[in-house]
Formats: sequence, structure tokens, C-alpha cells
Amino acid sequence: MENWADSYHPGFTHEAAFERGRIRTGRKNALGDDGSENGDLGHGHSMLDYSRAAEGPRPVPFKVDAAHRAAVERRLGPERAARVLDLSNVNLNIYPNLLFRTASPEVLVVRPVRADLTEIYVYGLRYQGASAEENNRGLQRVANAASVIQSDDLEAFERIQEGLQVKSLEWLLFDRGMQREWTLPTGEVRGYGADETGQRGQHREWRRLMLQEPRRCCTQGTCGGARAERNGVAR
Amino acid sequence: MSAEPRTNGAGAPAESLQRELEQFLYAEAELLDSWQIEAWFQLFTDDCTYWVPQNADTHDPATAPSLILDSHTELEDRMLRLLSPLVYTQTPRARTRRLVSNVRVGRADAGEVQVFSNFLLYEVRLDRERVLGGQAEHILRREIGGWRIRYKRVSLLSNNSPTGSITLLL
Repeated sequence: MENWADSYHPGFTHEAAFERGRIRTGRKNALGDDGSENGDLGHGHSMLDYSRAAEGPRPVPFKVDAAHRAAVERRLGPERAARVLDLSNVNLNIYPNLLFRTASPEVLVVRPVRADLTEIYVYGLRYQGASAEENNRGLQRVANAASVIQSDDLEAFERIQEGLQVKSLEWLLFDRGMQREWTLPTGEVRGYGADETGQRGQHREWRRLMLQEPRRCCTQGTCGGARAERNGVAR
Repeated sequence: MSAEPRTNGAGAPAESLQRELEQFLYAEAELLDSWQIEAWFQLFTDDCTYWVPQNADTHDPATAPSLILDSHTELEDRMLRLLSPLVYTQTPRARTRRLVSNVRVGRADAGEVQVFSNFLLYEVRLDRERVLGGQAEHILRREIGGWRIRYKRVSLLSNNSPTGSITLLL
């Protein structure tokens, strides 16, 4: 979850893959504070937003064909369609475990199984109205366990899990960019891309949920309140 | 690609061809196990396809996502990337041994032969052991100097299950 809202890690986590890309295409990757913004959308939701870069919005990194564009224009009108198709380059985290990104047609569901086992399910998307060709091309970019990008992340997750076993370290700091956040008129808190604004939002929401009064179980009375009593919850 | 061969004695490949192809597959596995991955890559023809299907043993790679669907260039990038010290999934590197068996010769025509085999890939890394297994289909082209791989499909038994990352060349 933190990874999806983070533009700090690609520069070193994915360097080996980027290096191949640079050699092949001669293009450099924008890294770190790459002009993106990191947004805390409230309730733990967060977003990496590449549409407000100082040097101009970074375009959505795939070609939308004419049929796809026309379909979106019909639904949203030309002005909003242009914003959605050309400028909405975002990674979006729906708290607690649903991940979207516009860079590839995929939805990820992060499924915690045990304290030491998490599964990530990746669903490829086909866009309504887009040509079969565009959709088929898009599906080739969907993340998986053998991807030269995703595999680096999976390794990082396992190493983090191992690192978290360390007893001598009481706190993990998510304090990058804490002093330079700003608030939009909508109430959304923003930071720069490599800051941890979105991650702080996630952990704030986690704390809020953990400190909530436990909900009563069995409002329908199907367990006769036995479970509530066992958990020490007043009926 | 096409269905597996039904071996019934009639039309069975010459014993020498069977043996030659088995030796090729063993040598390929040895290149990977001994991390001679540049030499392994040299086995592939310039027009090769290297395919690891996803969610099924075979599907239309054009319309459904694959775990890997590499052209010659993409396979070269995949191989060269693994030589970087920044590939954390292979730092430290996995120790592997591949067992290749059930080698069956399929279609054979002008200079190309199709070979099916089963494999087990036994892996030890950071004191953890993992086994990947499945079936491979090769289409080999006879060239001066020996067989080259024009097409390789690797169907993992776990292709529809959650796995850890798969960065080893298969």
C-alpha cells in the first residue's frame, strides 16, 4: 500500500530495469521528486498525481486510440475527456487494499492472509469503447510475478517483512516531507511525489480504526450475543 | 501450438534424433544452472518467441496476459538485467538444479522440430527451498553448428496460483 503511493523507491528498487530501458531507448526516467504530487485524500485513501508537474503534466504513458477517445468524449464531453485521457496520470490507493493506476490497465487487490503472508491479485482491464488492439496491447503491460518491475517490489516486500522482526527499533518513521505539506481547497493534503503524505494518511486511518470502540456483533442476534460477551463488549 | 504427440511406436522418431534432442535440453538446463545465461541466450534465434503463459497452460498470447511474452530483444533485456548487481531478487543468487525428463518429439518438418518435455526446477535461496515444475515446448531449428531455439513455451503448474516472484530464466 505504501509502495503504490511512493515515487521515492523506483530510482533504486527498479534501477536494473530502468538501466536496460535507458540503454535501449536513450530516454531517462524521471525519479524521486519527479514533479508528481503525493495526496492524502482522507479516510486512508491516497494518490500519486503526475498531472501537476512543474514542467507540465506528464502524459498518460500509452496511446489511446480514436475509438476509445470518442467513447470517453461521448460520456464526459471533450474537455473532461481530455483531462481524463491525457492528464490523469495517477496511482490511486483506495484504503485499505484496492489499487488503481492509469499507467497500465490493471486493478490490484492486496489480500492479507497471515501476519507473514500477503497475496496480491492483479486483474487486467479492458476499456469499454477501446479497440481490441488497444486493449490487447494494454494487457501485455499488466503486472505479474515475473515482471521485471513487480519482481523487484516483491523482493522489497519480503525484505521489509524480515526487517520488521527487528526488536530494537521501536518506530518506523514516515516523516518525509512532513514540514512542507499544503492543503487544497477540497481539504485534500498534498506533498511532493517523494514525500510520505499519502502513507501518513494510511497509517492515520489505521490508527483511527484500531482505536475505535469494537462494534457489537450479531445485531441480528444470530449468536445470541455470546461472541460479544466473550470479547467483553457490552450488549 | 499444436497438440502433443501420441507415441505409439509407428512414426516414432529415430532413436538418434530422440537422443540428440534430449542432449540439447540437458545442455540448455546446464547453462541455466551454472548461470551461463549469456550463452543460454545465444541458443535463441533472432526471430524467437519466449513465452510463459499465465492462468492456463496455453492461451492466445495476443488477447490474454502472459507471465512472460518476450521477443529476442526483450529476452536479451531480461537476461542482461539479471547480470546487474541491482537485481535484488538475485542478490544473493538462487542456486538451482533442473531435472528434465519425458522428452517427446512432436512435429518435425523442414529444418524444425517440436519437442515436449517436463521439468522440475529446484531452487535454494536464503536458506529457503522452492520447487517450480511444469512442461516445456521447444521448437528447435537446425542450423550450422547445431540446434537453435525458435520458440519456447514454459507452462508452470503454478501459473494460476499465487507464487513468489519468478525472476529465474525458465
